[in-house]
Amino acid sequence: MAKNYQYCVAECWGSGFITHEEACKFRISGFPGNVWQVPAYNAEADAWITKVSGEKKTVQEAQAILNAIIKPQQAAWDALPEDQKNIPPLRSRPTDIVLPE
Amino acid sequence: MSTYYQIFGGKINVVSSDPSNPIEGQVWFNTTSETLKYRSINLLGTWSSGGNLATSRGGVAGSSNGTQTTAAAFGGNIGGSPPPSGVVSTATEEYDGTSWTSGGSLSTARSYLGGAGTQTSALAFGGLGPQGQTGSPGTVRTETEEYNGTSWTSGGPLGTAKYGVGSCGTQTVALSFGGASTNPFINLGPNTISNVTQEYDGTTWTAGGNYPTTILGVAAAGTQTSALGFGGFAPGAQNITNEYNGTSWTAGGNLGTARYYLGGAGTQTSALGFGGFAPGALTATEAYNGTSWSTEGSMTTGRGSTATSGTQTAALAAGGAPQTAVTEEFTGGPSGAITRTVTGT
Repeated sequence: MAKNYQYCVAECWGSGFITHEEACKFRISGFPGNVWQVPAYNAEADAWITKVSGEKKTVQEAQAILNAIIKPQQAAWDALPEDQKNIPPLRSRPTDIVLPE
Repeated sequence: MSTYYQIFGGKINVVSSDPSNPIEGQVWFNTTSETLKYRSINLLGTWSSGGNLATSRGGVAGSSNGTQTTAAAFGGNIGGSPPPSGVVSTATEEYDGTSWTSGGSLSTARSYLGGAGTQTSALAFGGLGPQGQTGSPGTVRTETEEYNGTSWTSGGPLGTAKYGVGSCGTQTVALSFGGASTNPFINLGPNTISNVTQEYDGTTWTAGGNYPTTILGVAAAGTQTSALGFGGFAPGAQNITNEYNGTSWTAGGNLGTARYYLGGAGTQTSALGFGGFAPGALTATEAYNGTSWSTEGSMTTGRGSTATSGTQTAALAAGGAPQTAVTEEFTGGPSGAITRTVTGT
């Protein structure tokens, strides 16, 4: 099946990273580790990746970057004393993020 | 049944990549992605990048009565794995629509505090102080501080220490409602969640009409005498909305997505709600028209407890948790043309 999304890694530098015009044209989603998701087979999204000097990643590579951030947070949570784990709404176990194809 | 050709007088183009500059109403089939696509007007608002905060922080407050291009962000929680940590900030940063610069520091470091006013006339109150048990946020604060664009000075303290309040209004006519008065990291057990509303007159806080439910991490918009409270934790993520007239609260339309520590901007009859937790960080954005909420374009980065400012059609979200320095600016729709994919069977 054809993929719906493509991924890249790029550091958000602030103003102009995602312009209003770009946000109007296609959906950009940000994840931990400076991972960005944009539509696949989309010329405008391709141009944005080039603009931000994005390093393209497969979905598996992007997922590995997220996991490398989230898994240690989950391990740190698991190591907490039981009475310090679930303090809703300020603290709960960091949730997994699963990137779609 | 009529065919596409009979209706429009042309065939759907079959292409291997999307056209580089499609016009509104154009339809094509992309053989690479095996999808039918079309170009249409985007009726939703969108979020774009603003300048990054100098310091990544969650539980940060904003000059909620400011604008998208003239705002202040202050306090907040820095780092921690898992968050939140006991390291809280006194830092104030000022936004000019492009970048953030350092302002005067709060006297009392805190996170999950209330914020109101403008960049040059801001109000900070309550919050969680530094370093509690096992490095978690500490004592719940009563202090109120007033900012003049350069430095903070003491105002009248809250009658009861609170964090996670809903806050709106100006420096001298502000509103605080809900929140919690004990820190569950220290006083182990459930949050002591409040339904108390307090009104600030520039000197002292006095009691207003109680919020209909006990609520924590509730968003706010509007003024002291025409406020909106929405979402929150009671416990569990809430979708409720309530409207305040300066004396009492009445129910409004429910949010589409229940959540807490979401951002709020605008007025009682023209508000924007965005982000929050349920418990994962959300990007969902909704607009309120005084009666009901409708879906708007989602934020780029999921987060809650962000500093907010602006209006329903020109809002600002800066920082937030999971700890980020990212700023996003919302522009109300309609917002040009967008390529959409036909979905379903």
